Formats: sequence, C-alpha cells, structure tokens
Amino acid sequence: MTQPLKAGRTFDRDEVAVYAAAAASLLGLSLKEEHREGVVTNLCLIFDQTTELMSLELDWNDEAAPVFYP
Amino acid sequence: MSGFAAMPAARIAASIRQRQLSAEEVVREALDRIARLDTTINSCTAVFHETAIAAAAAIDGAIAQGDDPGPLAGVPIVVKNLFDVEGVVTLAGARLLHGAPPAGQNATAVRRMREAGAIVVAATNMDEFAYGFTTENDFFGVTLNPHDTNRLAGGSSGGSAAAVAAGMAHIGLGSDTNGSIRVPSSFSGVFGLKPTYGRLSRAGTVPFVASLDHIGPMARSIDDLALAYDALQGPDPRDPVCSTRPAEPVRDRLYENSTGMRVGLLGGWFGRDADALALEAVDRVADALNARRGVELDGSGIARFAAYVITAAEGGNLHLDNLRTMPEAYDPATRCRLLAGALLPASIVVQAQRFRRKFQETAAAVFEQFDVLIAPTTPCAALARDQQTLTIDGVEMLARAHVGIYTQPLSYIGLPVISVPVAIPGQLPIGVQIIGAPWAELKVFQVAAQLEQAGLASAPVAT
Repeated sequence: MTQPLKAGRTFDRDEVAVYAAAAASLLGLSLKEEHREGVVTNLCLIFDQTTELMSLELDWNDEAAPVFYP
Repeated sequence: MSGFAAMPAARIAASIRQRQLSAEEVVREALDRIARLDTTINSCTAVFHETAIAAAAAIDGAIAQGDDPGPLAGVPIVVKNLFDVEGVVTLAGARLLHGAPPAGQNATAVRRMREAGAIVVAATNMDEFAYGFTTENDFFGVTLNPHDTNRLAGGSSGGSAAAVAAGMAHIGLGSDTNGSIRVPSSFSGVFGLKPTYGRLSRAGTVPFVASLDHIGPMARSIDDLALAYDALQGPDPRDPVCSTRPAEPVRDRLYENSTGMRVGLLGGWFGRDADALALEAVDRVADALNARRGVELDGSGIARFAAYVITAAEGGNLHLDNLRTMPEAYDPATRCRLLAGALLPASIVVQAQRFRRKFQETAAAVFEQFDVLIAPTTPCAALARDQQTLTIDGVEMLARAHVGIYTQPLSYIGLPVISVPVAIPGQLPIGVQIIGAPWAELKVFQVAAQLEQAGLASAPVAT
C-alpha cells in the first residue's frame, strides 16, 4: 500500500512556499514576487486534497503504463 | 428570425444539393448573423468572410456541374480557435500565439468537415489554452450566453457553443479535456458530444493535456450532431492516440428500436452538490427512460481530483519552456495554475495516473449491468457574469471550480458522453449527460435521440 503523503496533516502555507521556491529553482523557473502568491495558493489547493488519493490501496496491476493488445 | 438559422443542417445540405438553395445565400446569412449578434455575444475571434463565400461559390459550382460536395454541403460551421485552419494563425485563446505563423494545413477534423462539404465561417473564443470552464479570456474578452447575455456561455469551448446556440452556425467543433464541450453545451443549451478517448483525431489542434484531450462536435439537434460525428470519424496516423478502429457511423441507426436499453441513474457523487434545477432535469430524463435509480460509480470524487492533478501537471510540463522565458504572456489565472502544476511532486501525479486503471475497472463493472448511465452535466445552469460563488443546500462554494465536478470523472477514463439540453419552461437550459461504455457512442446517440423525440431535449435557436 502506498503511504499517505503526510496524511491527516494540514499543509502550512509557508512550508509550501519554501518547497515551491526550491522546486522552481531546480526547474529553471523564476517565481516572480507577483506570481508567487497565486502559485502557492494553487499548490496548497492540491496538497490539501491529496490525502484520499495518496491513501488509496493500489496494487501492482494498477499502473499507468500503456497496455498493448496484439 | 430568418429561415436558415433554424433549419437542420441535414435539410440545408439536402436543399443545396438539390439546388433549391444556394450555399452562398446560406453562408451570407450566417455571416450577417455573426455581424449582427456577435458584437454582444463575442463568440468569434476571426470571421472568414472571403474564404467562406469563395468556398460556398465553389460548392454551388460543383453542384451545377453534377458533383456531390457531401452530406454537409454548404453548412456553416465554426471551430474553436485551437484547431488549425490553413492560412490562419491558431491562437488557442492565447496572447502568446498571436504572432505565430499561420497554419500550413487544416487540422484533420477541419479537413474532414470540409471534405463533407461544410464551410468554416469563423474561429471561436475559448479559455486560454483551454484551461477553464467559462470562456473569460484576458485577451479576447468574455463570451456571453445567447439565452441571457448577463450570463456566461461556459467553457472552454464557449465560443463554439454560443455561436451554435445563437444560430450563427449549425455545427461547432470543440475540445474537451475535463468537460470543455459538455459544460458550455449545458450552459448554452446545445447538444455536445465528447466521444471515447481516441475515437476522433486531434491532429492539428493545440494540445492541453495529452492523456485527457478529446475533440467533438456541438449542434442544435441530435441528427446534426450525428452528421458531424460521422464526418469526423476514422483512423488518423497524424494523431498517435487515434484508434485504428474503422468508422462506425451512427446517423442511419439513430432511430433503431432501442427498447430494452438498460439505463442507470448515477447517484452518490453525481447526486450531490447540484441545485434544484439540475436535479429536476436529471429526474425528468430518468423518468422518460425508466432509469433504475441510485447506481454508484465508486471513487468518482477521487477521479475528479486525480483529473485535476493530471491536468495541472501535464499542462505545466507542456508549457515549461514558455513559463521559464515569458510567464507574463499568460493570463494570470492560467499562469499560476500551470506553474503550480509544473512544481507538483511526481508521486502525486503518478498516483493520479495509476488510479485511472482502477477507476476504469469500476466503470466496466457498472457497464456490465447498464447500457448507458445518466448524470447532471453541470450542478447549475449558466453562471451570472459576476457570480463568484454557488450556494447549494446552504453550503457556499467557488462557482468556477465547481461547474466541472460531474464531467471530470468521466473524461478521466475517456467514456463517451453526450450532453443533452433539457428545456424546462421558464428556466434556462441545462444539460444532462448520457454516458456510454468505451466505443458505445451508438447507444448514447440512440438514447439522446429518444429524448429529443420525446420533446424532453431540444435546442432552439436562442432569441
């Protein structure tokens, strides 16, 4: 079973802002001051809802790979 | 209202082929209608006066020489401005693409419609890069609802939906990643088809989320929708996702006896968070089809969220280069969502993709018991222009994010769906989704045709 991503935890906005800045830097994205607020809000919206998705019991057959039929 | 706008496309084409009408007079009327109405509606981003009239003259000339231009001979159509139209800049609602070179060839869908005789009279407005449900575009403005210009047309294919609803064209082409054909079809009161994922070629369209993107037609009758769908079908090596299945025409089989069709009314996720009008529309359709109530599609809420995650992540990845070099070129709302998507941790995105297989299996089990399912298309009728929130059962929610809650879980697994417009006297139109198993478009069309014949689903020209 996949472990929940910080299940049951409310994400801290400052923590998400730190994550966003670090990830953006690694991807070569410059998060301008006027864009940062909106990006962090969107990330928080997603992180706040991840618990149920990340808690799903998926097995090895539940995979994203394409399946080829001869 | 003049005659052609309200006439079915098939009748127009038949009259033109029999030389009772000329394609040129039909197209000129469509262009006049655009000129008269679109200063208010704002559905078109480019109107092709000269090429449309030239194409109409060519159709009339071909018929005069005894040639048959096809089943859509002389029928005016519009295309969302993410479809390539040869010689025209494909904008995808984006300021960013404004200086791009014109398309060198038609999108496959545009080519097939033209080969069937249709005439493209305009390109239509959309949310930037199809990321939205309202067609409120920072660069091209907002598209208004022809049924009530204080309301939104829906999106992201809102320009095509509004143009068809207003009688500026008989058929509109749109794209649907999370509901972008179905939501504007519901709000603007037209029929809209999102086919099975891979059924129709997307070649020559600006992609948004490759693993969720579909294209499809919108029209004011099921027969017109079928006419367009049949013209659009067929394998296409230009789109790697397009199936090699041969075309499976539906138009000649719309009114075959469909007695015994097993219809299920989706409950659970699809029975919550809708207003009274949306629920009444679904109840009327369920009664007409003798639907068995309370069928569950377990995991629909998670599927909706997973689609949201995949959309953000794939969209962010697709736009990464431009987000690095020219983030200011995007609509503010699009920019923030794409940037956030580009930064999402891989484990969340992969989990969202892996759940697709499980949810497909859940749906497959339900379709062993039912031929088609029904559900609301949107939780409410068209939003007011300045409406920020919806209050349903005393709970206030963000309106724009909420309107796709019933469409997203279905496109997540690529099911074929027609949104039929249900007309309740004194109310705005609102859509109900007719949902089929993969590749079962025929059954979906037959049920939609049954509802239209019963007078429950209709799409008169907005006046």
